[in-house]
Amino acid sequence: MDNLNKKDKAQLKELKSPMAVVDWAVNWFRKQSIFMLAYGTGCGAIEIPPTVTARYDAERFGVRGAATPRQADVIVLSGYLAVKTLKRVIRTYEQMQEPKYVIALGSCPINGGMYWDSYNTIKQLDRYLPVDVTVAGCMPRPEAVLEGFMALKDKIQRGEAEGARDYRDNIEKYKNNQKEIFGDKMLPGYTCDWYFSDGGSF
Amino acid sequence: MVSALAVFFLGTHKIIRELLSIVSLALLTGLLLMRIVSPVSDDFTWQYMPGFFTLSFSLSSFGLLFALIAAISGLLKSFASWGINSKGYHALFHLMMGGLMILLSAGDYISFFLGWEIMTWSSFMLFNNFSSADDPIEKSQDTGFLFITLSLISALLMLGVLFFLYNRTGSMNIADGVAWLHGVKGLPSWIPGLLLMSAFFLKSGLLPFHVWVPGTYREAPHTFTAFLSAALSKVGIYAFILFFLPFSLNEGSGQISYLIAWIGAITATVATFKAIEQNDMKGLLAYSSIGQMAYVFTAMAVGSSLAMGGALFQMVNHSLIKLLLFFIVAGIIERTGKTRFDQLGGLIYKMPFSFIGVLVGIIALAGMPPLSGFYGKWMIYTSLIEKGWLLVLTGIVLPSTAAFIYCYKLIYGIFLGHPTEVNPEEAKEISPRYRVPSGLLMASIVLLGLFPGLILKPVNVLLSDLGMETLALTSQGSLNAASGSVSGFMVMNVFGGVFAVILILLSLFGKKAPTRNLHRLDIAYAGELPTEQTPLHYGRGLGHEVKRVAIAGAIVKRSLTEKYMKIGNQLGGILEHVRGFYPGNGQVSLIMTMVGAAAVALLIGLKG
Amino acid sequence: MLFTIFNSLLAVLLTYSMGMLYYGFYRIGNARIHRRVGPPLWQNVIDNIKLFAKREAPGHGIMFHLGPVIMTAGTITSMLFVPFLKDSAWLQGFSSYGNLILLIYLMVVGPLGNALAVGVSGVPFGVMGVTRGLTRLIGLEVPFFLSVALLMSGSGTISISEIMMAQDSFSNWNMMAHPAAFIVSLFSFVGMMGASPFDVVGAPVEVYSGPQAEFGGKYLGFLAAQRVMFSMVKLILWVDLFLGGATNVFILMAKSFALFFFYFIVGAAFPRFKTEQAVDFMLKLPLIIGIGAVLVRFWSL
Ligand code: SF4
Repeated sequence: MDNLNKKDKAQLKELKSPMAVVDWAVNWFRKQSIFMLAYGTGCGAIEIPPTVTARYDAERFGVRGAATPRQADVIVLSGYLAVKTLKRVIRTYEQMQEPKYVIALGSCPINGGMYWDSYNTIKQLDRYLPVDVTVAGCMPRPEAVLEGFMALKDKIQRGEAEGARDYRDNIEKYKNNQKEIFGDKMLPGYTCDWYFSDGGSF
Repeated sequence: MVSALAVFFLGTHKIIRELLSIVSLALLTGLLLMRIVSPVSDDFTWQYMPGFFTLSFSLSSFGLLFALIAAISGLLKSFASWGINSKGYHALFHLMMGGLMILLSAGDYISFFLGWEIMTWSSFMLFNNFSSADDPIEKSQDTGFLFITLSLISALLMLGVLFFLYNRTGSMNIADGVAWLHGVKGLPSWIPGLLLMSAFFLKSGLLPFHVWVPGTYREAPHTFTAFLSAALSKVGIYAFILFFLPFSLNEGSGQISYLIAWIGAITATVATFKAIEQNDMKGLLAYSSIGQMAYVFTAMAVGSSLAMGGALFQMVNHSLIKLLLFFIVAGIIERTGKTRFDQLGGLIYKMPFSFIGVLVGIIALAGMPPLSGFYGKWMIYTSLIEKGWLLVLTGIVLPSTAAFIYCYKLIYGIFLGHPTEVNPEEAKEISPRYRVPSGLLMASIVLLGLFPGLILKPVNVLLSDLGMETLALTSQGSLNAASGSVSGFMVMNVFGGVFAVILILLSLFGKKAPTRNLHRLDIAYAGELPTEQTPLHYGRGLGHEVKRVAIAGAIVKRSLTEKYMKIGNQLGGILEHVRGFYPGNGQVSLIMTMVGAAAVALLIGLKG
Repeated sequence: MLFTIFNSLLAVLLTYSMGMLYYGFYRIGNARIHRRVGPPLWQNVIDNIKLFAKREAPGHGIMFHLGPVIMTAGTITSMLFVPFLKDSAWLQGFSSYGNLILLIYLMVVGPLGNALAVGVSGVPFGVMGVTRGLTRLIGLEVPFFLSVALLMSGSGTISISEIMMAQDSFSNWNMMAHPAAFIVSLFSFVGMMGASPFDVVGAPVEVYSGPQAEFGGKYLGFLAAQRVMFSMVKLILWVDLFLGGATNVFILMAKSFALFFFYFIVGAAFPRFKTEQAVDFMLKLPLIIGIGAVLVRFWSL
């Protein structure tokens, strides 16, 4: 495990109780293995291929593509989100398994970017989904994208990347915001009903 | 032999009885049970009937095995079809049973032929008059036509050969004829042999005579289909053993055995690919029956003790499996009224018992360890390797691997996937009538998987009767061959043990990471939102890709049935002119044709 | 009995770590071919532990829950019926109670069990993956059976240990004694390991990673773990059958790595077959070589 870098080691030394060590270790595994679902929503989709291929090689940081939301840890939203797309994004996000993270690329998901007055895109992604990391730029280059992943890793290690918890706890707020834009085309009940009950697990 | 006649007379006796009340099924059950016990005591007794010919009956150990299979199938079947049959059904069923028993205990040609015909005709009446296809339009005329034509051909072939044999040996005794067949080398024995063999292949539905099977199975009353597949299809095997088994052991007949082995392999391949194509449950099972029977013939052609044991094991297994599967399918059809895979689906949590039943059935049918189906196959494969027929082995590995697809299709189409036309809220578990016999069958399949050696004792008795070496039996749990052994007991235990350990492990993880039970439509579907109307069930199309494989495509595209129908129609055109001679009633004319044909055959036989 | 159980655990551990190591190499190797740095060697272990550390998992009822269990149980059961070493009491599992034919069929039990879970999850893509897998299996099994049948009838036994024992010197290794059978089996080997050109079953884009589409969290963890173990079982089986077996773990690793390297090269070099192309291919070239070998063998007798 040569990739326990100095920062990790320093953190590890500060921990006192054994449970804290276990938590730390779990987080370490989580941050070292990130299955990414790249959702090419906008212009930024083009920046993902160089990020994962020979030039920038995200795999060396343990970032790897996943095929379906069930397997993914992070969803990367690359750019503006049309209302229609957002619906699919929410669907996909809800299908992912906790702990799950959201990385939003570009200025569009932050404040609408150059689509600030579009009739058809949403302006502020974190009204609808809990965004863990946003990478600003129009469009952020792969270096910046990787920087975003590093920021996410840091957050995971600190145990602060808990967007999923936030979403679950404030589900009513998020759903109301979503309802504002979808209106009567809201996602059907079966997709999110379990957020409101305990979901019947075994 | 008392039991055969007793059954026959009681069978006819029952005609009156069954007409009176269905309740007498209970009595039948008792009778059948009696019959299971009694033949053991009075084996090899003789009985004479006054008449032109002397009819002799003797139930050999082989006959006994087949009679047992038939009796148990009949018993379970009667239980499963409790109270749903119309009048006349039982009479015919018992008549058929009687015919079957006569056939199985026949010692001479006349009784053999008589039994054969009684059985054929009564089963024809059964599936034709009490067909399960409710819609008269849906019911195809072709099925009856094919069955009758092929049965007639088979009867004619047999009659001709039997008279030929009588003419040659001057004795009506089957044993003499068999001895003659084996005594004579070369062409004169091959031709009658091959003709006779075709008659038997026809009954078991081997290529190229399999065309009557799917339609018949599909249209027969559901539980009767189970009986057809479990017991009647075995008659061809019995007759084959009776006439040919020593023949295939005969040194000089290597090529013929090899040919039969290949016929088996090719039949299995064709039937399996056809089965994958089927869209209804009974059709799929019908084709799978053809395929499974074909393995038995391949194994018998190999001729070694191991192969023979494998053939018998496979046969018994097939009876158990097909009874089980057809019963459950019958139950499902009864509950839902649907027969096709694109109408069913998603019933697993509503019908857990049937699901487990079909699961046990398909595991055994696919020949996978740890259930009984594997061990029959194991014996056949090992015997093929020991004999050195590696190409034949390849020929039967192809269909038995492809069989996984139809096995999966069967269980997926009914229980997995999404519900289509059946409302899962209303679906109920199949009725106990089917559940009880299915439970028994499941138990016996599991038991045979645990102790495959159980079957070796009876098999050894049969083998020594045939004058073959017996198989080594070290323990009930294992099978042995010269080149290796397998322990069913260990396989089952190891698998069970590992399974349990992993399940416990998974439950430990379950505390930390609970499984969330999701809505049926909450599936990974590329971000889309499927609705109730989205066609998510893959019941119909499953396995259709196989068609794109060159060999499978070639098989699936061709239909022998159509070719036969074409020939039949053209012949029909010619015969149209002849038709004037016969009275209007189709059955009468058919019987007349048969009598005429018999006369012709008699003439040929006497002349030859 | 205790010894056997201890051995079984050992076998599981050995195949797991071997598999993780080999597949770590596989990922690095692939990265180097792409001229990338690639992940650390133990990335697969990290991925696997992460999957088990997920806080929740999707479920579709009890059958879905049992699918991965059957799959893993199938893998471990087949593992226990393969003798790892020759001339040794260690790592034999239950192989004396079984044989090659049993093993070939045991190896299918797991995937079919999992197919039930895939079916019950209701993802049509998963079922498509399953059908593709089963169809492909037709192509793989037929030449494979032919080649092992050649072996079995050649050595007069169907027991894996005895076939392994018979190969006492290099010239007696079955890859030398039965070269045609070995070549035929290599085609099936690549297919069974699921490398391209035979990797259409889990095509991520076409059928959404096929059978695995709906599995996540701990289920995916189990599936990933059993996948590497299963690959190792196949490698060890091929070592036993064709490469003369191994007397200790290091030789076993060396030989199996050689085979793994072959698989890696083929996988890296070839594009993907469609399902029916894969079957057609397998039923042409390998089958013809196999049939040729059978004919030669029985004519020269
Ligand atoms: S931030 Fe710029 S590059 Fe990204 S989606 Fe918006 S407009 Fe396109």
